[in-house]
Amino acid sequence: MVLPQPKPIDQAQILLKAICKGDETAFAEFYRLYEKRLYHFILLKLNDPLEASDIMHETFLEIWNHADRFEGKSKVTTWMFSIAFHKTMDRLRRKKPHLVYSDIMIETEDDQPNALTQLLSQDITHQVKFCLDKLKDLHHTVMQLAFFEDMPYRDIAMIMSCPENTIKTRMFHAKKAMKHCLQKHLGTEK
Amino acid sequence: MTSDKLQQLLPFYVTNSLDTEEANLVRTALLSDTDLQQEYYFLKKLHLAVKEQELPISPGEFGLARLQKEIAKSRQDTRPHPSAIKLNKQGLFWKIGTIAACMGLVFQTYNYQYLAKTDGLTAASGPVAHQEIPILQLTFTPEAREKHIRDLLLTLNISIIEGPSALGIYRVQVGSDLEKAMAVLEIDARIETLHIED
Repeated sequence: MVLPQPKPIDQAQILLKAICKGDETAFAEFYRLYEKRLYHFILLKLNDPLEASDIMHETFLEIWNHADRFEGKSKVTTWMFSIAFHKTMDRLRRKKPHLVYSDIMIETEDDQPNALTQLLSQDITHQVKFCLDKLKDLHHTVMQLAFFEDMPYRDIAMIMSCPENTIKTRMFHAKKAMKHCLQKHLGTEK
Repeated sequence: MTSDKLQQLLPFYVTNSLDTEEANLVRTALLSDTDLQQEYYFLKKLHLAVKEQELPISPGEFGLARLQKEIAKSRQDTRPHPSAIKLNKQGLFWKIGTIAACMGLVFQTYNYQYLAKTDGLTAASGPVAHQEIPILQLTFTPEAREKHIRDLLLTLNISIIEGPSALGIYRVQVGSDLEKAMAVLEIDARIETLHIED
């Protein structure tokens, strides 16, 4: 999948400065650069295209209305994903208030070296989406931002408003859960 | 650095997102730790597989048009410009014109259907083989959500043939019962403008 390739810092910051001045052309350019990635990120959490469209709409509106609140302490994309993340979490909490969004993990057995060897020799492409969907929400978000967006753990920590070590731990658990799920579905589990 | 810490840094090493110092630590450990090497290859494979995910179809230009419409509306709301007031007056004229045109169309459609059912009034050239379906132009209020728009169009069996344009204009055709569809569209609060093409 080929995405528009922004030069993340320079281009986004220039566009954001223009947006601050009410430049609608810059806003349209900004939207076209990030809309697909942002929608993908939101949709993975909400699993509902209509709701994801609404959250994305609200996110871009907030960027338009409050572009001046970007302080330049992070990348523009980090700021943008952070707005989308918090809006999505608010929506999820309203939809499913009984759900607890925590890091509690059910401990799985230790990795078996043979199983990992077998996993390395198989094509995992088709099972990855299934296993990603099985991850806990917060682990899924970290996995998505780290492996799809290639974001550093520091940026992910800013987006999710939590300590950097928490992100590393979540990624560690997400990886473990993915491995476990893939082993199970590829029949390599002993 | 402990093995656990290295394991936690490894995914970010794979994506090349660690700073130089951390990356060097992981690189050095990888040279001598075979378990870490296996983990590295697995993560590399997983990274590639995640990257290869199909992106869903996003709102695209539709979403942008919706945003632009809302921005335009909020600008009008906050800064009423004399030209905007003039435009509103013009809009009122066009609304009245559109309603009159719609009523004319409804009357014509009724007459046509009534006459078509009446014996002895068939055209000398035989029954009409093809009835042209009028094309409507619609715009929605900025508050209208995509779900509402879809629901409304599906309920009235309306198909989008073009749009939305940069100004949020849709060109649509009614699949059946134009009269009923027009009656519903005219009173629906989500419809901002309604116009039948010549």
